[in-house]
Amino acid sequence: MSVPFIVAALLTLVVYSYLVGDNPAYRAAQHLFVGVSVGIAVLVAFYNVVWPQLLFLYQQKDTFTIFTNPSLLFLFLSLILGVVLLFKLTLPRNAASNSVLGIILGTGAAVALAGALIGTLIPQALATMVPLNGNGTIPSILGNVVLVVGVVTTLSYFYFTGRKDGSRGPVAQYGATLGRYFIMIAFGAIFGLLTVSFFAALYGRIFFLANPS
Amino acid sequence: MADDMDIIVPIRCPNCDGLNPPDSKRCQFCGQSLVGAKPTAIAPPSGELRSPAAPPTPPTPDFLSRPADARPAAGPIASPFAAAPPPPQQRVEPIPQPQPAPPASPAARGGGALASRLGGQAPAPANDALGGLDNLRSGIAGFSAADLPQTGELNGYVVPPQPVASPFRREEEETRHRDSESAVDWLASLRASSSLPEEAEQAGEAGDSWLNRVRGADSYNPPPTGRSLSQPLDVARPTSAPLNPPPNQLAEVQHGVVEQPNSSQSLPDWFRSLRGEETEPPAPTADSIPPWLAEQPAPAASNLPAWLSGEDESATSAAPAPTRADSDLPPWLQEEATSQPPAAASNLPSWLSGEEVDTAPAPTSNRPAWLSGATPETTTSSSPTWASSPPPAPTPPAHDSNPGLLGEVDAPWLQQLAAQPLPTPPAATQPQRNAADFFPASVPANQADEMAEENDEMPPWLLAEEQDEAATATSQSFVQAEPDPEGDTDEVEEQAVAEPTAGRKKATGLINEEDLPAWLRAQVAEQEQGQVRLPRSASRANTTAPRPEQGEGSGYVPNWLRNLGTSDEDATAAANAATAASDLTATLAPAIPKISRTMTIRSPRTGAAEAFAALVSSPSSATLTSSVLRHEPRGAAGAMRYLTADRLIYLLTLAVIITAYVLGQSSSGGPLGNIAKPNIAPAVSSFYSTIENLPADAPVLVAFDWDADRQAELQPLSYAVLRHLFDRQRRVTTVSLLPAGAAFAQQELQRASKDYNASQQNTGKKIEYLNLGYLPGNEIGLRGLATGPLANALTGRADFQGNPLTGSAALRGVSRLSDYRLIVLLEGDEGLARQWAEQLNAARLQTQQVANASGVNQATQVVIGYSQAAQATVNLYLNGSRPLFSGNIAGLLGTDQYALALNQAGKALDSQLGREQRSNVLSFALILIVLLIIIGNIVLISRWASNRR
Repeated sequence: MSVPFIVAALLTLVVYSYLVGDNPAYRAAQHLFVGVSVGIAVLVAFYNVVWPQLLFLYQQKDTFTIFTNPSLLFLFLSLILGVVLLFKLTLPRNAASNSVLGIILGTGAAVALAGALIGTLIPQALATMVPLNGNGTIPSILGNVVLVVGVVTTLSYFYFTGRKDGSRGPVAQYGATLGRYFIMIAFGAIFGLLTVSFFAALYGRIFFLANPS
Repeated sequence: MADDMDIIVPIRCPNCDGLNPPDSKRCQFCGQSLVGAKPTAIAPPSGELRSPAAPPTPPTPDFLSRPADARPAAGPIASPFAAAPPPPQQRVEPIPQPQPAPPASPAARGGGALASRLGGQAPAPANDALGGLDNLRSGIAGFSAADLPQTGELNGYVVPPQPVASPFRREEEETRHRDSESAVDWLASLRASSSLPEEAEQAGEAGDSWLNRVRGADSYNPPPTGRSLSQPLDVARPTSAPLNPPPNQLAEVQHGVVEQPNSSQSLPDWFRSLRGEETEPPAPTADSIPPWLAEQPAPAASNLPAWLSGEDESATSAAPAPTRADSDLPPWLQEEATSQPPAAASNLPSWLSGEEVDTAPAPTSNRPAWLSGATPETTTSSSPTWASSPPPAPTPPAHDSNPGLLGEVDAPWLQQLAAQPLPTPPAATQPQRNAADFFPASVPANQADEMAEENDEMPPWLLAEEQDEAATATSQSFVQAEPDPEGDTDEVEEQAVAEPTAGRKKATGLINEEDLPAWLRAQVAEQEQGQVRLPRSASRANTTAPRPEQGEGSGYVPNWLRNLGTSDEDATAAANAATAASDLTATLAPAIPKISRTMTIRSPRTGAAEAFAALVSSPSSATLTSSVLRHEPRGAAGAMRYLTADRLIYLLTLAVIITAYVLGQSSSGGPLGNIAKPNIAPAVSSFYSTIENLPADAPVLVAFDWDADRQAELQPLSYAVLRHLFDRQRRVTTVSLLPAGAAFAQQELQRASKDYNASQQNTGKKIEYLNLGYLPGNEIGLRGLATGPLANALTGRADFQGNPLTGSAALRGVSRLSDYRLIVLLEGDEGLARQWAEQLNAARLQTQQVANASGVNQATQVVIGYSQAAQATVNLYLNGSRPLFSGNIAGLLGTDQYALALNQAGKALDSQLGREQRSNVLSFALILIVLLIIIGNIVLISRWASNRR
């Protein structure tokens, strides 16, 4: 058995000791896991992203192609903005660093929103608009009916608007009740999938401990 | 007048038979809806109470005829004689009130009117609580007017508390005296006729009509249970039931108003004896009347005290002093009788004669001050109610010495009344109780015995009062001090503080501490220390203790009475509480004024803590102490504490998985066999066929987006996919959106290439792969990768090992993402899977719209392998008219199917993947979970069913 295996085995057992109760060893392993994960992320990001690009820019210092090559220009500007962003460490309210942060957040939000709209919302809405008869078979018909009813009732569950007297229409009122059951079924399915996934992780650990390397 | 009374049409509750105001929609007693209930007329007082040959009825005083409901809502404090009474009320109608006001019962009306007159304050708008209050006022025997709670104090939400002037206040005496000059005619006639017995007799008969009603009202005996005090009384009910002694207010009226009740059955014995109806007054028992008082000779009319006869104080001082029967007196009282001549002021005790206390010397013996004839001023209001009804006569005229009407009337029967012994306190008429019965359960037995021995030394009448006082004191110990809404008692307290007594004396109501004999002093000290206390619950239910800041004689509001009428919902409960407490109130009435105002009032929290300490220290708390303070058992029993239901499930699951793993070590599944016989799903088959159908040397992009938490699921799948790609000679490029994913990608690439190279030693085929490593920015990085040239997205980048990307064989012919023929997504997290799906969909849409666009074209296929935890999200993109993914593999089960497909293709990877062992273990684990879910639901349903039953 190698040292890494022994360390990994001990840490595995320590983490599973949480099933008995919270203990300092578990918390130590937890902190160690977080620290190692962050350390790996920093190292990977620096050596895999930052350092190669800095070297590339340094190699282009004599050719003056930074201002002629758009890719290099954007890379150089990204470097400048990254340096300005570091001012947040000492000057939290610095306008320049806030601007850089605004660019990052704004761009990320715009891209995410566009991707969600085009990649998820519209395709899902289109996938819901199916004919109830499907391909003519009974399972297809039942499946499409369940699909339409499930979508409508689930959306009505989140419909909180009512009349002045507090009442709601029959679709919103009774559909919300039915939609609640659809939501519960979906949660149950997700819970089952998570359980299988966690059992796979448990098996992976047992397999690891049973096959020392 | 009887017809006038018929116009009150309250609504009788069909449920509780209670009477409610005409405009009530819900019963004030039980909450029953009164919609549709018919109004019920209140019958007038029975005619038997009225003299058939009564002469024309004299005008009824307003304060007697006007019901409590009809009184003005609020008004300035006025002397009882401040205003002339209006003409007799022809119609008794309740004044519309903001809140529904039930028609007060005759008792409530009479009592409320009297209380109003005595208190000098117009009561608040009547409601149900007020009706109950007035009724209670009239029902509590032995209370003086000042003892009774004021309307504003009782119903704080109805009427803002206003300072109420005590009728015994000296400053009001003068006002009353001035107002008496403008008294009503009928009162003047009464005064004028007081010297003529015959006329007075006629006047008394004439006044029966209105006074009988008052008497009938005041003699209302509330039902013992099930009926609220505030519930109006049907006066038509026969009055054969034994009557309670009339309240103090009525007693004063009887003293002051010329009236002879006709029905002797409707009067208590003591009242009948006062009236002289019986030829021989009943001999008071030793329990009911102090011996020295019983032995007093019947004084003649000339022996009346000044405040009763109206004579000057000088005249009364010349009255012969009565002789006492020393044999009936306790020893300490006999000593007093022998050492000190009887008071010459009157034949009444000195404390009853109202002598001023300012000049009284401090008592030097154990004799109480009230026995020595020096009554402190502060004890005027703290004297027993039945004794304090006639207040001290400060100066002539005589009518000013009596509160209300007392001094206005002089009648022969009143003189006869004065000649009789004073009515005995109701407490004295209570059945004799044993001392052991009196002490609460919390008092130790030995302490109770000591107290009982001490009580044996006391005279019977004092013993009864002492017991009641102790009971009230113990019940008071847990009553929370409440702010005094009125300031009328401050003066009394200040006087008590400024009382010139020797040294620091604690005023214990009527009796100072130093005035008490030794046996009684110890008792008082014990009460002040709170050694005798009742349980909190009992004290809450039965407390009638006055507030500490109030004088003994002033009104107080018990908590249960304060809560009366707080809301409609609480009306019934409060009325029941008032009914239940009325008995106790009547029992404790004589003792309440004697309770010290300086008694320690502790907060409820403190009381609870002390009660808990007493409970723990009691012998019966052994079980409680052992269960609460016991030490945790050690050993096996202590370990069993950790075996909770969830931990049992954990242990059971571990046991099943380990057992299945150990028993399934062999390739054939061991003794368990291969219970899992996976079938290749269409999605897995499509995944497999997509890789198989790629052209040779096709570039493939593989995304390793899983971390260590999904390693158990996605590492086998990643290895299988890489081996499949390598076997088909695909050029593989890996990228990851996670830093750790790039490392795992590198690890799997090396492992798969090593295995592939080991398996392809003789063929000479080489594989080409490239690990781009970590792609930062999530959506932004994916967007740049999907829509722009790779050169822009990968400017200045190197592979995971730091080698430059230029010249890499894996990137040959690849400038954009669309140049890849296949994109394989290995997603461990649903968020990253959604990001890939969204950006790839956006790239495909852009490709369709822009003719010469870059991005993912239709020729680029996308397959995805993911963990089971991400399946719910990934399923959104698997269906639809144009699904993004042409194949998918979910979790280990999908991996097993994929490995089975590889086996069928002659690429056996079972030994590397451990498929058979894993399949058995996961199968047993899932079976266990299904069984646990079923059992849990059965237990849940059984509990639900049992709860419904």
